[in-house]
Amino acid sequence: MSLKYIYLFLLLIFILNNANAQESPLEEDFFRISRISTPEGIILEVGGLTTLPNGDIALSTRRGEVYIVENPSSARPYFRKFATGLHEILGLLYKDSALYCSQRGELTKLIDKDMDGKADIYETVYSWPLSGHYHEYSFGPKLKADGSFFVSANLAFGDSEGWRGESRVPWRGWIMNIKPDGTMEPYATGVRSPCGMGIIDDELFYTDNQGDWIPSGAIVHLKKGSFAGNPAGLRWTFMPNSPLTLTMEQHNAKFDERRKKDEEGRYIQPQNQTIGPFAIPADAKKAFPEMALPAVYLPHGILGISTSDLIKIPDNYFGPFAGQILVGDQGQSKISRVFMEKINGEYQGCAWEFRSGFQSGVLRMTWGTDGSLFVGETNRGWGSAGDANQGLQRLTWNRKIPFEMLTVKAMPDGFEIEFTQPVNKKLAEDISSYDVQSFIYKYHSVYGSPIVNNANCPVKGVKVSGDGKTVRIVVDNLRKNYIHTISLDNIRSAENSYTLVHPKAYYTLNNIPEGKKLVLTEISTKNSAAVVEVKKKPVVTADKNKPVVAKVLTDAEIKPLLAKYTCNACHNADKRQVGPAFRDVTKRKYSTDKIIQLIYNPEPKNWPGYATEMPPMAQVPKEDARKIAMWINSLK
Amino acid sequence: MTKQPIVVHMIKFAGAAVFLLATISATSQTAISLNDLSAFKNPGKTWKLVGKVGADLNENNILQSSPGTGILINMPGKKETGVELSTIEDFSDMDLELDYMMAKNSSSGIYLQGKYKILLNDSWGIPNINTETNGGIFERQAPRQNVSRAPGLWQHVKIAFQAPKFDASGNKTENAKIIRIELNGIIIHENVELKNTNEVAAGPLVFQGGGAIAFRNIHITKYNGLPPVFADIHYSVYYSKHETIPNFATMKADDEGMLYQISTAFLKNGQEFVIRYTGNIIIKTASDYIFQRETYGKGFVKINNTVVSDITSSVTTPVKLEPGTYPFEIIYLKPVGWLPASLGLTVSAPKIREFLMSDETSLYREYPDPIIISASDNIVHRSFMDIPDGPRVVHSANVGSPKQLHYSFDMDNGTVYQLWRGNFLDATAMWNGRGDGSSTPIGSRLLLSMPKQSILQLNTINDSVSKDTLFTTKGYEIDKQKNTTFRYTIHGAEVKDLLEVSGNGDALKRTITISNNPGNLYMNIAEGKVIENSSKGWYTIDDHSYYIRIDNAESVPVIKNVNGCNVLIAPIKNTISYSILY
Repeated sequence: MSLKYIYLFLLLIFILNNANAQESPLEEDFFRISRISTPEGIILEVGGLTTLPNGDIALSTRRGEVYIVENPSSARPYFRKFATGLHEILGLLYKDSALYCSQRGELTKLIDKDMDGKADIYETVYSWPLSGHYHEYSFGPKLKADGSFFVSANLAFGDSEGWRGESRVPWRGWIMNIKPDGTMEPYATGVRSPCGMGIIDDELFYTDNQGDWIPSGAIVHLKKGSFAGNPAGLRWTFMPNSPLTLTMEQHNAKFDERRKKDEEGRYIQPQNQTIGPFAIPADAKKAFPEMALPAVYLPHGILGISTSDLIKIPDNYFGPFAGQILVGDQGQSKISRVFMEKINGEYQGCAWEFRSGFQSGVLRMTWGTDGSLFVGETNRGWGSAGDANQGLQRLTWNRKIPFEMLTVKAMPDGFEIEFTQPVNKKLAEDISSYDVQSFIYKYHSVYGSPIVNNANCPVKGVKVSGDGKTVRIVVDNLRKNYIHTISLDNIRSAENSYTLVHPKAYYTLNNIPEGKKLVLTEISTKNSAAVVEVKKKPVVTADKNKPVVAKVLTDAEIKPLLAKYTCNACHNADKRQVGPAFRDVTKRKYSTDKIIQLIYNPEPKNWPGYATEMPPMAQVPKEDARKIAMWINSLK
Repeated sequence: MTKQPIVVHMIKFAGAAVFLLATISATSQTAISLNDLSAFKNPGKTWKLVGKVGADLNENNILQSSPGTGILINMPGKKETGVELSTIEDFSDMDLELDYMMAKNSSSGIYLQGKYKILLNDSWGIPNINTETNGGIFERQAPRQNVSRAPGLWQHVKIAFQAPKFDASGNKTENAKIIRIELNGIIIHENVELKNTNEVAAGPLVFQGGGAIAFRNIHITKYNGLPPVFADIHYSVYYSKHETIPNFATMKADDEGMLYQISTAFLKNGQEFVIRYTGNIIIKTASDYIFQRETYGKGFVKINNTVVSDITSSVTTPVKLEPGTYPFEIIYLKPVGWLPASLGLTVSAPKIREFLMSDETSLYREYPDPIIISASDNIVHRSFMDIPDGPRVVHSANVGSPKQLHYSFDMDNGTVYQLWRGNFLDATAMWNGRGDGSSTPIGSRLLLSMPKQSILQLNTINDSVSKDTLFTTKGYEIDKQKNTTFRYTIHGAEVKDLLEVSGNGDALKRTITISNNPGNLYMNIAEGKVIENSSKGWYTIDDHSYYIRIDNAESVPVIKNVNGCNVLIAPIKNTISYSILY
């Protein structure tokens, strides 16, 4: 009997390996990144990017220049310098024959009155206050159907609490709605570093960057009067035109901001304070109905570390993905894909990896009229996986359909997953082909958050549609307001037996829909893993008799840990990214214990060449920290 | 676009490691008295002392003066050709600092040791730079920028000069050298070697006699002390980690020996260590000495058994030493292996120019590459702009001109608040790394006022507080001549504020045109401690800092007193036009 099971097990391994041997195509086999021939000497730290009606693209740079790139898809695009000398332009828009840009301190209309190809009128549409802090970046404008603009405003940081977002002047930490006549209506607050905004179906969505009160990058739907979570901007809700009345005091009474000093009068960083039980973002929603929970999280370290632009895929672009949303990420130089649906009147949905490997930090995206996506990039001051300082690149689709999850929709008892191509039904009907886990983040004044309240969500059954393109899974332990990681590593396409290009989906379950649940007779509960598990046992028993030796994990073994704790969000084994290469860490000749200590208490001052500080990784368990530290030291 | 805020900079390692050489140095400055001419040899007839001086911008080579003392003036005329004026005293190594005022088209100069000429010429508004440009070193080097002010305005020059050196038999061992010249606050020369005939170790300070020029506040720092030297330098190095000074008696050095110079250049890379240098310092000139260290890591300096800087701080205490030989002890701890070793020790005394006593190659310093914006064409560049001892202007438009006269406009108030001459903008602070959003003028800056509104709505001209501060910026427009017109509304009025660099860069002309005037509008043209109406339509501000010329006004401006300051103010209905000259 045991021989038979071993045979089955080996056969399964053979099938899996064999499938891999067929070399399932990868994202780069469908979406190609190419460069744009650019005149020498131009520094394209792209902060704004938009397409003009004739197919030219206009881009703005952090060094204050605006270029029109004529025939951008041709072999020799022509770069025309349209405007200069503006202040860190982080957004550009075309409306009614003029370009509009967000500078640090104002929304500006650029007009070429004498038609010599250069702007000669730099008209202030609306100027907003600034304190002059470096982090007071301003993003946008994005256009609403009524002709008004949205502009978003970064927070400053504290002088003696450099980790704390601070709204020193109105309307930092806010989204402003600027009317064509130059009046401004404060629209929503609670934003920290709102680098990306997008108008989808005339609704405003924005992306934020991880930090205090913002545990992870995400897409958030903002209505007038919404509060996105960071309390700094609440300082101005007393002003007569504020659309919400929630005060900072009310907020801090419910959620301690941890503004504490030590005996010597120095502020203590929030993560170094001992505190009681933690809150999660949904608790803030319970306390304050104004709170806008993310519609879709882009889990930090997995789908990015600094989310940027979000843009809807138009009809006839990128094949099956038309209508979905692409979200850029600066630090990881990549683009994720998002599908959104509305449940109980609120947006929620699912995110996947889409395309990585851009040369610098992805900040801005715009659709070319040729079917391609232009991508504007910069990483100055932060670093990114793509190690160039700036870039303008183009993403094109080769019209082949990748085997992907097209959508994941919430169901009363689980999820419905639609694929771009029919699945291998035998594997799809096997519940062991599915793994669902859920987690959430803390809502607190500490920079970022570990993943908390992890739980397994057992898959109880599956129903595969007749055409093999849709599966519905029945999942136990669904949790409202949690992120559900759906892993389909074992799902194959019916044709060619390909694996999914991106087998992991991250569904933000803000609401569980009402409706009909599947009944047992409809679903398959086949579970091949249950069988495999039985015969695994003897191996485990054999291991028990061996002494436990601390052994250095292989690269393949360490990879899941580096991913789990988001180490690889900023570090690569050999290459400098946002943080130093692990191999460069080994040059410091730290002991394993020292590395463990540094995981929990990083010393960024020891790495002066790196602009972005490493946050303390308190969530890594000691034994895993040791595995990681030993592995790092094995790279010497 | 953000993660953690930056708290580390390229050089300043937060918390511990680095101390830069502080700029404290002990000097003793003496003034040449201008109460009489007793400091000078046989002054010629064109040289005299006056109490007040000024120039007419239309009259060549003429300074107007009134009796008194404190200002030395040379006024050659048709009858009296000027002769040079020489000090009685001879000088060798020195810092010379003085104010001077040129007459229109005048040409003069200073001869260091009577030989090495620094040109003092009227180069106002001349964009081409050559060795004849104001501040040039005669037949040797042109200044880096033309930062010259107009005739009749005080300019300030600071010259660090090193005399030629000779051995016992009189052979020259080292050329004379301009270490640095700062003109109107800007470094225009560094490290220029000088040669001449019949050079000597010491010579007088000589002022050229040909052109009309005035001098005041002549200060000289003499560096005639003999520098100290280290002798019998012994080192012992221990490659182990120490945060505090260890008990060396119980330790065995990994390496030890003698050095001819304090150095870390020979140490192993990438190691934690503590190195201890001991020996003697030979003092030749009695003085208060300042020993300043710069270390990546921690340091300790003890001279003549006195701790002058300890392990917790590089702040140094002066130590008084008579000629003689004294023991010294220097300890350098580097408890972090990967930090580069870097050690420097400078010494200075009132008569000894600060110099590096340690090995120059032992200093490790890294600065960002400068990012310069030049104004080869008219250019508007917005940034944050920090006003020295003032606020940060957050909506500043900085406008550059190839005529090398530039200005900053505060778009929150509708005010020109500064001008500068020379090169345009340094954007390193804005564009290196994340940047702080600010840029800095490269040239010589004139601050006109703090950023505040210059158009006021007053009940009467004697009021000082405007009825309201309503202001909305509308942006700016560049015209065919590439001049910039700022537009804004203030107190309900619509304003066009045209700014042009006129002539060869002589002046910034401002023309204000108003529509929808609600009435009672006044233009605050200039503010200062003292504003003088020097001639019709001409005003001199603050001890000859700059001029205002009224080009077109609906009524004559008034100088009024507000809280002990003078304000030049004029009512406006439709327009006013004036120029700022400096």
